[in-house]
Amino acid sequence: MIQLFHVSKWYQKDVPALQDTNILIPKGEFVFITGASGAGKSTLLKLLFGDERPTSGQILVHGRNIARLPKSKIPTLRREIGVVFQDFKLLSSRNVFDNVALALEVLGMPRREIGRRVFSMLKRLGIHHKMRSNPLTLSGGEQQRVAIARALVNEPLIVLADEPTGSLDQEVSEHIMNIFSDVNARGTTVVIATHNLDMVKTMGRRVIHLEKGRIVQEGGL
Amino acid sequence: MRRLLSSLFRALGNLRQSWVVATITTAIISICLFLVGGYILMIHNIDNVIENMQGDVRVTIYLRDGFPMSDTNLLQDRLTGLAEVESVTYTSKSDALVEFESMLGNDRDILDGMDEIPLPASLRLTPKPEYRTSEGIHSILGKIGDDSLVEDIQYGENWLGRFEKILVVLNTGAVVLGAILSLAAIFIIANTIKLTVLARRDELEIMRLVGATEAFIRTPFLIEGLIQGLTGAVFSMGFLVLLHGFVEKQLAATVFDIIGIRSLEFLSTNIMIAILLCGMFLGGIGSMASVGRFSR
Repeated sequence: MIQLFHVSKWYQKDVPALQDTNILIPKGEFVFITGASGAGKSTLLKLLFGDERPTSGQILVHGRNIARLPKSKIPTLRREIGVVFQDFKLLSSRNVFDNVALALEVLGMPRREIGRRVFSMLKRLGIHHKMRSNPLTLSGGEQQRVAIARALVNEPLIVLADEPTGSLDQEVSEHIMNIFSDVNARGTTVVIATHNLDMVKTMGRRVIHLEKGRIVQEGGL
Repeated sequence: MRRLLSSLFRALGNLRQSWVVATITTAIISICLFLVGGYILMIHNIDNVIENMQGDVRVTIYLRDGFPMSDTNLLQDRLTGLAEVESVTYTSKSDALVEFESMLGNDRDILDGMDEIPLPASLRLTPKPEYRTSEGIHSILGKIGDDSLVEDIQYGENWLGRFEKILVVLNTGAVVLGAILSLAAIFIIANTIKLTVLARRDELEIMRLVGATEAFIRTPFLIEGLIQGLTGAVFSMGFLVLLHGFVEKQLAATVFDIIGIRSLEFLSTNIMIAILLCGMFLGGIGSMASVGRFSR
């Protein structure tokens, strides 16, 4: 479960990124965070995986108060959360397999177990045949699937995705959304930040709409 | 243990991947340690030469004519009994003449026609090694006191004082220059390793984002630094061996006889171990300092 109590985030004095935000996301829910660029979507996600600290307010993730979480505990939090970044954040110095394996290496998992899990995840997402390729040689959709594979491979309780279909065409976007639906069906909480309202309407899920750092609408579209 | 091995493999993989920067870093560590080691080697050998010269420190006590031999024996026994004194030998007037004649060599005929030996008898006093200093000699002189048998005392006061001053300057210089070279080495190494870290900034960021602990991120960098430092130190030692051999060969034919030594000494085992540890320390500290800058 994710809970935000009166959370605000200010990067500069006059420009609030997020203002007095209260959100409750029960375990296993699928939620879209929508809004225009600069509405506060990415900030909200960054607060959830401890990449930013709130200026005020409290954030509970599975009963743990992130606002007060010591720096040394952040890695533990991040191991429970899979994050798919807007720019994929794939390493060009590693092949597809090693990029996905990174999320398991940091857990200190044995090499054989890593191999088994990574191959299984790549196969599930249909890109196992590209596992020795350099990520830069893949299409946008394939790179996104590699990023999703890395986010899911350690079976996190929560998946956060920032504009996962931002640069993809309609067909690939639908495929990516189906993957997230599948993940959610297995019990994982999914939170996706997007400005693609057409896609959100198609999915028929809960939507939290932000404008200038404030929640202005909540429910279905 | 498994984590340490995993970090070691990651470190070796990283070194292989960024071998150009790793080679540059190792070369810089090697050059820095070569400079520091070379300076220590030089100072060590200069110290040896000076110590060798200090070994020649003698006090010559010239004796007045006309005193019975028993007085001389009494004085010799008293001086031999001093704690600062290693040995005292008696040189008679005729022994002094023989020595002088041998020094004159072919010019000894200038002494022909002399009715009596113009050279005084003497006691030659060798201080114990720890008293072969200006201070030690003065302590001995104080104990000789005013003896009517003693005509004059000579011990090369001027050159002894000068050597001691040179020794102080060299030792101070060794500490100051050693410190400057070490600081410069740390600065250069930290900046070179920073290049490695900069090149892998994205990797560090992504590792943190997927939940890597600081220990997981830093350990391979520390191991890389230690490996580079140790390799650099071993190379610097190799270059020092070559330098030592070359300089020794050059000096053997010319200077050795003049300064009274037979060979140049190499670094002691302790100093060699210290250089190896210093290399690992520099590599490790440089790595940690560079990774630390990207810590969030």
